[in-house]
Amino acid sequence: MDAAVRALAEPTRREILDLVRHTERTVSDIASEFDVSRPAISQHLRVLADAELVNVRSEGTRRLYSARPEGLVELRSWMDQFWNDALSNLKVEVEREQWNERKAASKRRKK
Amino acid sequence: MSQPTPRVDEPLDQQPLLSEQWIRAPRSAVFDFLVNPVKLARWLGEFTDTPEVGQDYGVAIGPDHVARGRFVSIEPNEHVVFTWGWEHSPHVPVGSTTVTITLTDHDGGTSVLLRHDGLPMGPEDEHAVGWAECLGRLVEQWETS
Repeated sequence: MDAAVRALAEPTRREILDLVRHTERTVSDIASEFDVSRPAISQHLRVLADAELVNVRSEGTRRLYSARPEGLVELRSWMDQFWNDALSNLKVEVEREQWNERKAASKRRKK
Repeated sequence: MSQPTPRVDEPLDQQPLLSEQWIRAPRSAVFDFLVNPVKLARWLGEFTDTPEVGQDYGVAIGPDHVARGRFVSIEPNEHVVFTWGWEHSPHVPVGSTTVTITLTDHDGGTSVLLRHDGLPMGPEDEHAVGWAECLGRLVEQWETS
C-alpha cells in the first residue's frame, strides 16, 4: 500500500497536513493546535515526511514544515491501483467462468 | 515566514483515470459481470440493487465503506456508465464523479476500458485534502478487515 495513503490513515496527520497546506509552520506552532504532546506531533511529522507529504527546511535553529502537494497527487495513483486491482479481479472471474463452461461442455460431449 | 508551496501546473482534476484490461472471453460474458449483482460481487463488491438506467445503487467496498451513485447508461455488450462517490464524504459526494466502462472486441477476446472522470485531485483544489481523508478512511477500514 502506498506510504502516503498509510500516513493519511491517521486523523491527526490529516489535520496536520491541512495546517501546513498554505503556511510553513514549526513543530511547536503545530503542537499548539492539538491536545497531544510535542514529541507525538514530531513523530507524526516524521511519518508525513517519510511519505513525502511534507517538506522540511531549516531556518537557523527552527525546522519549518510545509505540505508537499505532489505527495497528494501521488494518492491519485492509489485510486488508479484500486481500479487496476478491480479489473484484474474481473479478468480472473470471467476467465474462470469461461473455463468452467468449456470444461462442462467438453464433459457433455464425451458422454 | 509564509512561503508558497510548490505547484503542479496541470489541474489533475480534469484528467480522467484510465484503467484497461484484456479478458479472454466474448463481450457478452464480460458484460454480464457488469450488470449481474451476483457476478458484480465477485470482482467489485456487494451491490444493493440490480443495475438499470436511473437506478440508484450502493456498493460495499470492504466491510464498512460504501460507494453510491446512479446508473446513467447501460448498452448491452457495449458500455456501462454510473456515477460514483463515497457515502458521508463532503469531498467526493455521492454522484460527484463518473465511471465509464467500455467493452470492445480485441484479439479474440474483450478489451475493457475503465475511465473515471471528475476526481478532485488537483493540488490547488480545495478538495484535495478531503479526498486524501476519504482514501485514508478507506485504508483504515481495509486494514482492519
